[in-house]
Amino acid sequence: MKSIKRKKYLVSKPVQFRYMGIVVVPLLLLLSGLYYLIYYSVFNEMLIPEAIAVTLLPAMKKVNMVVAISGPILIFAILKLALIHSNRIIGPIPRLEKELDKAIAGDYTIRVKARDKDELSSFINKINLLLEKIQERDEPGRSIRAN
Amino acid sequence: MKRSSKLIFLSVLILLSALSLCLAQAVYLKQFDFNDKDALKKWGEMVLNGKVEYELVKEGEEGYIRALSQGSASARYFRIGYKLKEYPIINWKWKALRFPDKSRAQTDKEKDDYAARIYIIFPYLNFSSSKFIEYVWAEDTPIGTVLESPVGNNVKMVVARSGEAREEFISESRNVYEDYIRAFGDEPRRSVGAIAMMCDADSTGTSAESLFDDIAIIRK
Repeated sequence: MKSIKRKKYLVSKPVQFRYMGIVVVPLLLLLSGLYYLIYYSVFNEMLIPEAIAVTLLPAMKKVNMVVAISGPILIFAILKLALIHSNRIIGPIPRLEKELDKAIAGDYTIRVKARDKDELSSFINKINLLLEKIQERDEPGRSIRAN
Repeated sequence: MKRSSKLIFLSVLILLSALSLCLAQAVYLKQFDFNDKDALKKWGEMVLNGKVEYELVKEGEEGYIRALSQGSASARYFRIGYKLKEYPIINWKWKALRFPDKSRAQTDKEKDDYAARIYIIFPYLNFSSSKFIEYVWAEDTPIGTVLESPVGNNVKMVVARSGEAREEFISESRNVYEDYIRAFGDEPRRSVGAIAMMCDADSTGTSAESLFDDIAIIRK
């Protein structure tokens, strides 16, 4: 398969945003929940305010600082990964739709291009195979009509 | 008066006496008399800065807790959930034997050592907003004074006893609900989650010793 460079990562905003939301929002909720659970459990074990003030709160301040610095970078990286992954699933669909319109119009010479990492690449390969079969079947009729 | 009327009158009298006796008696949610040799094992330990020696001392049938801090701070706590409005009173007995020497202490944090403290802990889901009432035995602060804790605004210290070390046990009875409102200016929004006792002398690096006994949580 010919390698095609990915030009646009955002090909279908509503679907990709929904996909990213499904992945990113629960992940952030899970991380926040874990963050809270860890501190609440430690607090619940300590109970005595002097112990909390001396150990838990300074530790929390340090972690919060690290989270404040690395958090935006982490969120950006997660969003970027979600965008790339959603593009691998959704990216070929508009292309597929466009090429199939040509096939419906009678042009069976078209072939749908897929990237190696696209989730639908094997499905696209099968469509291309189907188009090839139709083209082979129709070729003798076309030659006769042409003659 | 007929015999049957006399009987009814007597029965009503007995019933009323029993009722008034019931009403007069305090309803205990929990009582710790420390008479059982394993009583302290039910209390968890939180070490802040070195272990304080907590031991159950038996004198005949009676028992009490002896706490000895040598430049250390650790507390013993008991988890118990209850609504403060329903059980607002806490009673206990204590005896301060030796106070931490604060003569060299400069800051509030350095002065934050007490021979004896009783904690009422109100854990909140947002734990940084949890509230704490500490009853302390202070040497030179009048009884009833509400002190700010160097630990934070959510901790208020109420001076329950003032003055020198005593030879005998002193009984205390505090209405925690009223003290809470006085200290925080508002009703408690959460239930009590635990109570604790502590003797500490780590900030001053000196030593302190106190005794605790008969802690009880009571309905008003």
